[in-house]
Amino acid sequence: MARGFSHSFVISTCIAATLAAGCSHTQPLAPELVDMRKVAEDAINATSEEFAKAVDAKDVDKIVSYYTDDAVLFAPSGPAAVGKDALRKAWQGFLAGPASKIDVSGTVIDVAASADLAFERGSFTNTITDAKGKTTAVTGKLVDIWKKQADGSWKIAADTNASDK
Amino acid sequence: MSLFKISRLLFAATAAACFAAGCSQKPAEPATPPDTRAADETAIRASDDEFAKAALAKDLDKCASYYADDAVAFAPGMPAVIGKDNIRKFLSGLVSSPGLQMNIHIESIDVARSGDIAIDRGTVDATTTDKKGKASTQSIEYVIVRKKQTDGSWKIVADTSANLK
Repeated sequence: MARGFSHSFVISTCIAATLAAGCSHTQPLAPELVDMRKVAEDAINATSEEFAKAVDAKDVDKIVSYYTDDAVLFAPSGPAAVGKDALRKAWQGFLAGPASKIDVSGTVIDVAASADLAFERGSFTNTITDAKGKTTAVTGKLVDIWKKQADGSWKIAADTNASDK
Repeated sequence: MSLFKISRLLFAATAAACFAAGCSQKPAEPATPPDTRAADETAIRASDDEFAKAALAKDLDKCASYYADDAVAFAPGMPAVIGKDNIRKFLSGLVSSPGLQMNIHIESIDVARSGDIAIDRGTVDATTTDKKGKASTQSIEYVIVRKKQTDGSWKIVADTSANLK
């Protein structure tokens, strides 16, 4: 009993001492990387929320401010919009059309270990209300590419969408 | 051997084992992972080239092998294609297009600093011929997301495109 105690005491003391003194520099690396990804994911989600508010407010300047200068937008139909000017026109056209409400759900964000690049997958529902008040829902899938900017903010480099049917 | 001696021996042995297991690498600044971006870009360019060759050779298995199991594909005028099996069906349509010619123009390849996610952007001119032998060319803008696999190869997780006009 006494021997068992002394052995386990020696071992546990040794492990504790080793971890505290010898290994404190190497251990935190992995948790650090995980944290960087989590911080990036939270920042992207927060930016997405702001983006959605800008869309609801039909604030085109604000909407395009979330895209990189060379961003692309693939709407579920119609040609690609390449670059900020084309994106602005595409959004203006969309917002001038029938009233619509975009809801995004089931998003999964994959952040690079270096937290400088990320892509997001998810589903969207676009509920369109015509002049007579009749609503139609269009559902689809989205893939967005996010790039971290020099100032630490995240911007959309590609906003790609396809309908389910 | 006295209990005291055994304890000292055990302490020495355990300490050695602890250091060997936990501290085989000298505690130092957090290691910066090697920058593989140039090699990654080369591999992805080669992958685009091989894909085009496989499509022209109507090698469906080879074409499908570039996609991850849970990949998504958005093509012009088509509903979202989800999963490798459905992508394979979609690709079978592509490779069986009569007189298919593909010209891929890569505009940029953006690899995360950590070398685990890459964005490939560009345009493709795909020419096909109708029953009368008349050729028509469709120009698309594409954005492809790839993820590095555990074996070091890159697989497509999202293949999105829209018509340029």
